[in-house]
Amino acid sequence: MQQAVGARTIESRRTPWLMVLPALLLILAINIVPLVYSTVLAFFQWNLIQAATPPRFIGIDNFIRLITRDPQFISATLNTGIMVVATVAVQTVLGVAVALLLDQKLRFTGVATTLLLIPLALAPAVVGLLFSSLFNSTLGPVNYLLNAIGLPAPSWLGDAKWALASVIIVDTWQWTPFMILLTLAGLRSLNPEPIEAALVDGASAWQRFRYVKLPMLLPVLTVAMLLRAIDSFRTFDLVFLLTFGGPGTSSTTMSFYGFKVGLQNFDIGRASAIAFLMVQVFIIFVLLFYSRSKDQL
Amino acid sequence: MVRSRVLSAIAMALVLAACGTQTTSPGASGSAEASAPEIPTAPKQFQDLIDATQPADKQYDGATVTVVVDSIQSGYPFFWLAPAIKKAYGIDVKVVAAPFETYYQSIQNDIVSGTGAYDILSYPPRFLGDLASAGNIVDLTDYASQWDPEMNDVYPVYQLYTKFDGKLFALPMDGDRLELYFRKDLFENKDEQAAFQAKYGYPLAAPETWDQYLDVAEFFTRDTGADLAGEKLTEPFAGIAEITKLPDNFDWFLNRFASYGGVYFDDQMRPQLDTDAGRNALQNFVDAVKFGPADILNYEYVESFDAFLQGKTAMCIQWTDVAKVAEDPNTSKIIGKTGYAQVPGVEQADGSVLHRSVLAYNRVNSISKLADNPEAAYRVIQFMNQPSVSLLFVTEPLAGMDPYRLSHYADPSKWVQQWDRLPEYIANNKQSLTNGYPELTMPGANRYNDALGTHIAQALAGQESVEDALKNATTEWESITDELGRDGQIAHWQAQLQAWRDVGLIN
Repeated sequence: MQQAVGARTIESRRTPWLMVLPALLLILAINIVPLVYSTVLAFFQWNLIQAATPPRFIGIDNFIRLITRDPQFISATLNTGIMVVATVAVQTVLGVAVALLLDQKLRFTGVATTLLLIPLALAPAVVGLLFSSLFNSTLGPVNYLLNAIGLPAPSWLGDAKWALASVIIVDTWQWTPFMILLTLAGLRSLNPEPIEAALVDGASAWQRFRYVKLPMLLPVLTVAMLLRAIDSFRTFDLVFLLTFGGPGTSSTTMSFYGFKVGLQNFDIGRASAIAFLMVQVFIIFVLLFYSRSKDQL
Repeated sequence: MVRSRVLSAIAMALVLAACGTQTTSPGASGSAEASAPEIPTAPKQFQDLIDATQPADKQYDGATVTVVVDSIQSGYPFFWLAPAIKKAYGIDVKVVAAPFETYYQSIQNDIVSGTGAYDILSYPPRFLGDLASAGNIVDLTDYASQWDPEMNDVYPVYQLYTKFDGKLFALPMDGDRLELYFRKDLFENKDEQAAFQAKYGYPLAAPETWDQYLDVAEFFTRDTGADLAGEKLTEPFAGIAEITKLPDNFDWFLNRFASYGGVYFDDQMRPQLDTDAGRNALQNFVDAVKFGPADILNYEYVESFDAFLQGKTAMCIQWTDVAKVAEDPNTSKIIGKTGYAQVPGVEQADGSVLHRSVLAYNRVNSISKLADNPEAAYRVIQFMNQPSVSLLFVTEPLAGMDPYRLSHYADPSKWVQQWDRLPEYIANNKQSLTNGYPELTMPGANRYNDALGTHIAQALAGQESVEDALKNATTEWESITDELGRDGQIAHWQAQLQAWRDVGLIN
């Protein structure tokens, strides 16, 4: 009897593992193996142009070179940092502001909410081509409008001072609706009682938002900001389509630099080191973010 | 809601399909299939050639050969002549266009990954050293001895672009060089001439030197509302259009560098960028882009080409096909207004001016080591390379190919495109060949070019000083040489240098 119970216990423990085993193997094959392989390659010098020459172990030279002797990598890291901070900050502020407006249940809010989906539904290639035309310095409507109201019209994509800002603007255009929709969903799921209590107590609209709604919204906002930060951190497509990292290297991000080193120069060792450093930066960022906001999650 | 989502999904799928790599097979009539991108109808001469083509001695029935090209446009000759190849050899030709900016990556990936989707690689010889030294392309020597590619009729400088370690690895398809094009109508305007003379103290003409180039560029740079040759401008007008970003910007530096006496490396392969020649050249380039259109720092081939053809700049340093397209009413607003000159140069001690015209890009055809039927692939590129066949696509404006055979210039009346000043254009073409300066084709050339081009772009954008850009490019070049193996690279460089000296490209 005891043996039968024991066998059933082992069986019942084994079954869930068997059920998830295919998925685990798939994850191992698709995610873990390439990650480990890429990490190992980061310690080798290997150029695919000379594929016949075997990889040569060089220890941490790829990392030392990136950090101490590669100003383009440092510049790409700074650009990525600016990109993440700017996009998350601007999109969060705009997202919350517009969501509060849409939460007023005014006329056309349904239509407006539907229209907000359009940028999210567009392929990056379309967004890139669209904004290349809009930002054209002589024929683009953006500069036409700026000139019409007497404002200076910069060369958005052709000026090193504006290129990264242009990428941030386009990313904001495309992804602010994501923040709006998540915030709106959060606002509509809030418990109305504390808000009504604050109203009865004579709290102003700003006070109701700052001291009642915002604290209750933080869990939703934290997740939304984290998702946007992750996405912004690996920005590649908009840079590729709008500026190709230029003028000079003024809009080159870490992902784009990794692409250049790995897939244009075929320096697989150094590109793997870039990917490894990106993963480390990313893990540190997520851990910091999580430790600062774990009460909200 | 569901309907709108379905429509969005369909729209996105269509866009993604449109943005992907474009593959198409020329139909039997030479026109593209319904799903293919729109290919312009070939000029009549192409159909005449197809009609006159006879079956060859050896047939390859059932063979399909796939050609990879760097744009749909550069695939036009293959599209147009595929029916002739079918008639001659029974071979079907399929053309795949990979994106221009990542073309090198596309062909390397295909071979390195073992995919083998492409049989014929149509590419600039700056990739030749990498492809040949890694054994990724087929040695054509044996095929050439069986079916003559008539290389004696090819200009010696373009023959160099087909060889590695003395062996034939490619057949030519395109003879590129850079020239200066200018708005002849503006330069001949009496009021403009008087104003220029008053301001600079010498007559307005196509600039002979790089210093004069800056003067002329500055003179013609005008804001909206200013007068230009008696007409009020409705948009800004710029002095110049040049290519400022990768993958080609380094050639626009090299035009200057070479005329200031620069050579890539010394005999022991020490980089010669951080020299007086390098500093003068890059400083001139940095100064010149101030007189370009507002977004000149984002200019590659199409943008630079278009700015000039749409009448937005006074001058343009470009490939020779631009002058042909400038006379095409379908694409140009400056028909009959283009003047031809050598790229500016540097005045020498004896008063002469040294012009160096970079033999930039070009295209050659090689056969991938993974080709299913390399002999059939050779017959295709050999067919395209024949004097009478290549004459068609190097003398019509749309394909973007340029003359590379002596016979291409022999009888201008046989050119597909005809215009009044064709003899003047041909004379300038021949002169720029005499002034030619070669691109690197040794192993690692693409990496040297990329490193140099990146620092040039940074200097043009004001991210680095001229001195720092050249110092940093030098450091990167040294690092690339070390990575590729210094001794081997020195041997390749010395062989390259000797080959250039043998045909008189370098003293």
